[in-house]
Amino acid sequence: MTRSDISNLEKIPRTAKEEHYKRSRSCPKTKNFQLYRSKKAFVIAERGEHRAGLIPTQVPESTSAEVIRNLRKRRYSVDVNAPSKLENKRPKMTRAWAIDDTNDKLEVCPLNFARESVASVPVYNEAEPMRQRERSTAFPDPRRYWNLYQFDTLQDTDVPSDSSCHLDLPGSSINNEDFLNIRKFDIDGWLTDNSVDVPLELLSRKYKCQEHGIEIVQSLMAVQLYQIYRWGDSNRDNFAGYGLERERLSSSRHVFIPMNDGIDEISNEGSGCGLHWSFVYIDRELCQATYIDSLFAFDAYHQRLAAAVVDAMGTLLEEDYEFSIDWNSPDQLKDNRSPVFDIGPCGPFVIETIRILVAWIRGEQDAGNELDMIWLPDGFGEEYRFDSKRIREGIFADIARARMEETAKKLAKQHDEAALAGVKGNELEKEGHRQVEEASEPIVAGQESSGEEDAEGLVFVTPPTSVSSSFEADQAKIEDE
Amino acid sequence: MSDNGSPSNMQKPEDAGQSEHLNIKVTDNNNEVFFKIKRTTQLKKLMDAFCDRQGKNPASVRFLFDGARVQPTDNPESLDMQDGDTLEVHQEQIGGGC
Repeated sequence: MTRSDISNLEKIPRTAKEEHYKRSRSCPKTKNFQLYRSKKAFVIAERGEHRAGLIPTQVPESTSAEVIRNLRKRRYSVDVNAPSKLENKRPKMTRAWAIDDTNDKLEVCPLNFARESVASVPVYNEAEPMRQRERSTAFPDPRRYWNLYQFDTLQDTDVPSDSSCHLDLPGSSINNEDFLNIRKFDIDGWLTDNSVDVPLELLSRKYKCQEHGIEIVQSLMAVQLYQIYRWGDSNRDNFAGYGLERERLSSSRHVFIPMNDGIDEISNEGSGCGLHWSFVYIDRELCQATYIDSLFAFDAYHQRLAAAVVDAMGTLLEEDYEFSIDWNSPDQLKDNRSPVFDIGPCGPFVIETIRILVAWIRGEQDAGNELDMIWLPDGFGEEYRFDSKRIREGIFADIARARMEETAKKLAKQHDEAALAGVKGNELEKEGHRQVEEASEPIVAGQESSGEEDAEGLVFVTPPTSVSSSFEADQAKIEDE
Repeated sequence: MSDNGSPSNMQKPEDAGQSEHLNIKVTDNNNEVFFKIKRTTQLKKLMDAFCDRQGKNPASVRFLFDGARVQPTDNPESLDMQDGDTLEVHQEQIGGGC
């Protein structure tokens, strides 16, 4: 280029940035890309032709005409740039973002991704080559992909310590405060009935218990059984009011009943009752009931409570069980291998021991046998290697994962319904889907994450239709008669 | 169960299905409180009202209907409740050791 050429170039008027970019959009309808940025991942979706030479996805011939009508003809490729679990550390990209033009949030992306894909320093001169650059559009909430959650680090700081519902399962639920307390080792770490019931319901789901003749009931079942023992058939109708309980207990051979020693308390103090968790295992075919307790197996009071629950179940189902106490259970204090002193390990003990026994029963069933277990085997404690800290971490992770799955399912359903109904992009945005341009100020390289940024995390963000949403004021009135 | 009766034992008026309001009994073994509530009203209102009356902390009690836990967001319609049905109240249980 000669000096006169340069001189001529300088005479060409500079154009506005948007006008300049507009000329580079040769195919504006097909080259748009979608961005999504969170504390833990950077996601970009585009058609891929210009970047990786990917051809548009072909619709299989067998696809029905109706489905084809509802699908876009060209599909997006989605790249997720996120920390590797193997690195076991937060990668810099989650906190350091390359910013070439602070006035343009389109330039904001992780450093390594920026070097590969996004052109640097914008130049707004006519003679400069046009940059490959397109407007980003809304990215439908990526939390609907369960796989994206694998990048989460399960930080409890993302969950507020309040009474909002954290996870609502068909048979039990747990609030945020109880969820956070699971990983505590002081008095707050004592598990509530919710904290016991939810992990057990997840356990039942994981091992497909009900399909295999195993029933893990909620802890309140022990309360109801104790009332049957205490009051008997006061209505003289053969416990007709307990039809559902009877049906549930009689549907399986193996029954696990978690029980709290507060089942005979009637507290009007407005606080919870009980001090200790244990459980009863009943093999209905062998007519055997075993009381397993990590602390009070020798205590007559606790033995009586367990015997009462077993007796009531026998009364309800018109069966007779031989009651026995297991002496091979590990001691929750002496045998606890937790590196941190745990003041309340009985809840974790109950959950983990039931898990071990269920896995055992299922393993035997898979081998074509049925487990005939009356007592825990000798040396069970040694093999168990009871560690309440490890168990608490596992319970916490299971609940967090279940919440993510539930959230992903809900969001996917919402998205699919909206997409099939032909909702346009701008309407999707109104429904809570994210758009990068509307994100808060980007995090500058080297700065710490702000609270606002935390709120954009992929995980532990309450979905728009979560049951934990605030309760709307209801116009209906409640009157005491 | 005690002489308080159980949900299935309550008499259910024949014409209750058409009524906009339901009479629901809430019992915790010691006390019985009756509420009239709309079919579509969230049971949170009823739970709060019961706890208020009995001086209980709503977070420390559990409500059961037909043996299943009741959530504050449930309403009589979603639970298929009928006039005269009973909600049982149980104390929260907690344990760790001693």
